[in-house]
This record gives sequence, structure tokens and C-alpha cells, in this order.
Amino acid sequence: MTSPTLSRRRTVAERHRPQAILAGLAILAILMALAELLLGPVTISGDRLLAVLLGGGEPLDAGILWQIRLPRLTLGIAVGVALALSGTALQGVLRNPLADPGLIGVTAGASLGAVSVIVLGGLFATELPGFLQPFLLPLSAFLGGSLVIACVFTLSRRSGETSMATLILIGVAINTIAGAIIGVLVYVSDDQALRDLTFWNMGGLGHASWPVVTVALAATLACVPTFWRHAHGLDLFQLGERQAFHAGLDVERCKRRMALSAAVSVGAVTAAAGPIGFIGLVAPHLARLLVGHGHRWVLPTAALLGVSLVLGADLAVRLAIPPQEPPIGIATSLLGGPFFLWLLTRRHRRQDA
Amino acid sequence: MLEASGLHLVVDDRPLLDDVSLQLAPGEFVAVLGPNGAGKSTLMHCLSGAQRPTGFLRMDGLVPSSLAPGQLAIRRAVLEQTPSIGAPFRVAELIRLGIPRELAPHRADTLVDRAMQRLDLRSLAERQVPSLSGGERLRTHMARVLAQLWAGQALGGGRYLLIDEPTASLDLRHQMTVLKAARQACREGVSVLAILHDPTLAASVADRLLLLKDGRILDEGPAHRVLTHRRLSELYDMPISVRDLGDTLAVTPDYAACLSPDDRPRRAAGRQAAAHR
Repeated sequence: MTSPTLSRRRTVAERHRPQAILAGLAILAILMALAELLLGPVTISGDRLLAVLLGGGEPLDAGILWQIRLPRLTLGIAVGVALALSGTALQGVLRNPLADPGLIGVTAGASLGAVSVIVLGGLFATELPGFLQPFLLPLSAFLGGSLVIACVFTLSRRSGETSMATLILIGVAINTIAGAIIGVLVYVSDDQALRDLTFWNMGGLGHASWPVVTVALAATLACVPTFWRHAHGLDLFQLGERQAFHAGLDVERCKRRMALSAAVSVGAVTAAAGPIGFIGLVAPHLARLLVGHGHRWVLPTAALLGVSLVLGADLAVRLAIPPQEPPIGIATSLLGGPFFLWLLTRRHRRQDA
Repeated sequence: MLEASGLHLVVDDRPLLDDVSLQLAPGEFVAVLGPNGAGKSTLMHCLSGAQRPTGFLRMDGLVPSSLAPGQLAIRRAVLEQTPSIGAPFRVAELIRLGIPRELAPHRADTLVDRAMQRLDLRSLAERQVPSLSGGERLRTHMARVLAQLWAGQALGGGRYLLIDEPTASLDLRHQMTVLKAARQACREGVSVLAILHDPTLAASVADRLLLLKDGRILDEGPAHRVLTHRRLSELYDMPISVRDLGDTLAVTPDYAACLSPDDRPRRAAGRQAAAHR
């Protein structure tokens, strides 16, 4: 038997555990962000960084930071937050731990939208006023992504609950279809579009300019409050749709909002950074291992983890063979692929038991 | 007051409810009995607002399916048949899910505690729900529903408790724990509608019984009037014997008549052997 004071002390520690973990992860994310700014082919020391951020510093440092590293960092933050929160929300709504924007085809849909603009945009983009140009890519990526989410939600609607197999098969089908159409678009694209497309399709934080990055971050940040407000709803979804309704959740509205937010944020960051896989799978799962299953804690934890993972992957590919820069997707897939396999085998074992 | 009259529901050309009428007064415990597929759960879903039947249906003078889910959740609490949970929440966390966020956190804590105590779950508070036995899981969900009901009362509602097979997979003691909790709610003025499968249990716990067969009401009224050999045999399509034990009724299938004749000699021999021993 534990004494009452001991058990009380333990429960107090338990209660403050999520806060402590969040604080730790925030520090980790900040360290990653600093490393992202300081490290690279040209190493910049802390005091030089401070000088530049205060408006002074050497012109070379200022150029590197303002033109290369800061947009990169900003995009990394947007990508991490958007993919992690969308993954958490999709997994919550579909009651399925494997619902990752990449695996179920949302990223592919967004890619298709973006590629369409890259290849066919030349036909009409020049007609549009200048200030709309940075929105064109994210907008069509959003349309592609939301089309896929609508498909997935409709196809998986049958019994109000999706089996793992159905969801993965839907993802395979959608990824195949999107891949085929992208292939057709590649075939008809001209040289310039092909160059853009190849760089974009490798995925990475380094190819985007300030306007594109700003749109990605703004779209993501606009979705964050919606995800956050539905934390309780995502908890209730774990009861199944009917029980969630009985417990007071407007199931259809919650679903619509989560789908829309996921489509907007995934579309925006995919348009800017290209397809980046597995962050939406790995971040929520690590978050649940750390803080349990209540979405009030899972959402912020996953967002911070997503930022750290994306920045970590970016640092890894940048520092591996400088000044070469392999696509960031290599790093996220090397981390996420085995993780995905581990999840599958773990679930299999549980079902066998 | 929950009033329904002439409820009809047709799904895929199959009539699930056919001219069902019932009234649920404050503080009344009504049990619904009937064979599998009689439409019991469907009736409950109509009353809870999850399905929209045709006919007259009013909860406190309002049409349930026209209310927002949040509003409904304050007025009534529902225990689904074989409830489940997708994520490994802890017992206390799962119970807390039922409480609307309008209620202050410290009041929610009190309700969770009370629900755990009422359903004998205190010792399991920190356990993860999937690691529990089937009966413990059901009790956890019942505690969640009770907590929702009490939270509803604190917010000016909490008048109806609709429970679908609340005693399935429970041992005898915990069947009583759950039904006692429901009766306690009754005493506080809540109308309870419970779908039960054990007529004996229903007879002893309910004020009124509702016999449902093929989507129609076969009979309705207090136990001693409704639970007769003839009615029950008609309801379940098999011979059923009813014995009056004074304050309650004992309802059992007429096993001798039900089991096939060639089984009987062997069983009799077994009985004889047991008697010799």
C-alpha cells in the first residue's frame, strides 16, 4: 500500500506531466529553430545572428538569414504544425491511427492541384493581378486536397467507422490516380515547368520565396484555433459517431470543420514545400505516447513535435553532404517508414492476441 | 415529459417501427422487452433524437431531432448497446468525456468521482479502458452516461435516462449496482427507459413494461398484468412459464417443453445420477 501523501504527490506529478512535457518540447523546438538559423554551409554565430535580427550586422549574414534561412525556418514551422495537426484531426475523426495526410492521399490530391498550376498555370496566371499570384498554388492545392478528403470521408462512411484496410486501400487508390494524372501533366509540360515541377516534387523547405511562405504560415495559423476548439469533439469521436452524438457532439459539423481545416493547412504547406510524408503519422503517435489520449494535450504536443521533426529532418539533409541538399522527404521517409511498419506489426500482434 | 404517439420508421423498405406510442412521466421507470430485432434500439434512437421517425414525438414539448446535439445532451443521457471506445482512455477520463464543457472543471471532478463511486469503479480509476473486462467496461460507460445526466441536471436539464441493455455482460451483483443507480435517478425525478432482456429483472425493477414485437407494441402496463404465460409466449414465440413469488414474478422459459423430446431421457438420467450422488 502506498501512503495517502505519497499517492497524492504522485497524482500531482501526473497532473503536471503534460505541462512539463510541453515545456520540454517547446525548448526542443526553439533549439531546432536556432540551429536552423545558425548552421549551414556558412556558420553564423549567435552574436552575429542577434546583430542581424536587430537590423544591423554584416550584409552577407543579413542576406543569408533574410533570404535563405528565415523563410526556410518559417516554412518549416508551418509544415510541422499543419501536417501534425491535420494528422491528429484525421486520425481522431476517422477513429483510425493510420490516417496520415500522406498515406490516405490528401497530400497527393494537394500535389495534383499544385502540379496542375505549375504546368498549366502559364496559360492563365499572367492574366491575374500580381498580388493574387502567391495564392494560386496554395488555392489549387487546397482544392485538390479537399476533393480527396471529401472522397475519403464519403467512401469510409459506410458503417460510421473505417477499418484500417479500407482506409489504406482508399489511400493506395487515390495515390495511384493522382500519380497517374501528375504523370500525364509531366508529359505535356514544357521545359521551364518541368524544372519547377521536379524541384517542387522532391519536397523541401529551400525553394520557396517569402510571399509563398507567408501564405503557408498564415493559412496554417488560421486553422490552428479551429483544431484547438474541437479538441473535446475529437475526444468524443473516439466513442463512435452515434455515441458522440448522444454525448452532445454535432458530428457532421465537427467532421466538416476538421476536413476543411486539414485541407486548407495541408494544401497551403504542400503548395509551398512539396509533398512531405509521414510527419502527420509520426508526430501524433509520439504525442500520444507522451501525454496520453486527450486531444487537449495531444494537439499542442503533436504540433511542437511536428515542428521539431521537420526542422530536424531539414537540418539532417542540409548538413549530411554540404553544400549538396538531398530532398527532405528522404529523411522523413527514413524515419516514418519504419515507424509505419512498427505500428502495423504492433496492431497485428494486438489483434492476434 | 417524453411523449410519442403513432411513431413510424421505415428504413430500406423495412418497417422498423409501426404505430408505436408511449409516455414517459417524470420519475417513472419503463422497461422495454422484446425479441432480437423487435425495434427496441430503434425506438430508443428515435426518442433520443438520433433518428427521425414520422408521427408525434415531443421531449419537453420540443421535437428531439430538431434540437442541437449539445442541447439534447443536456436534456437526456443515452447508454448505447455495447458501447465502445477507440482510444485507450483511462476510466476517469472516459467518464469525464460525458460531461459538457459548460460545467466548471471542479464540478466535473465531483461528478466523475460520484459516478465512479455509484458504479463501484473507484479502484479502477487509473486503469485504461481496453484493459478492463467486458462488464467493467460497460460499467465505465454507464458511469459516463450518469455523469452526463447529472451534469445536465446542473445545467437545467437531465430529465431522461435511456439505457440499452445496461445489464448485459454484468455479474449479478453489478447488474444490481447499475439498476440501483438508474432507480436512484428515478427517485430524483428522472424518467428512465431501459431495454432489458431478463423479464424477471424487468418485473422487479420497472414501474411499467412495454412489450415490443416486429416494431409494434404488443402490450403495455405494470408487470403483474403484462407478464403472463400467454403474452410472453406470444412475444418470444416459445412457451414461457411465469410464477408469482408474492412481491415479484419469476419468468423462465418452459425448458421441458422447449428442449427436444429425445433430449429429455438423457437429462432425466443425469438428474437421477446427481440425486444418487
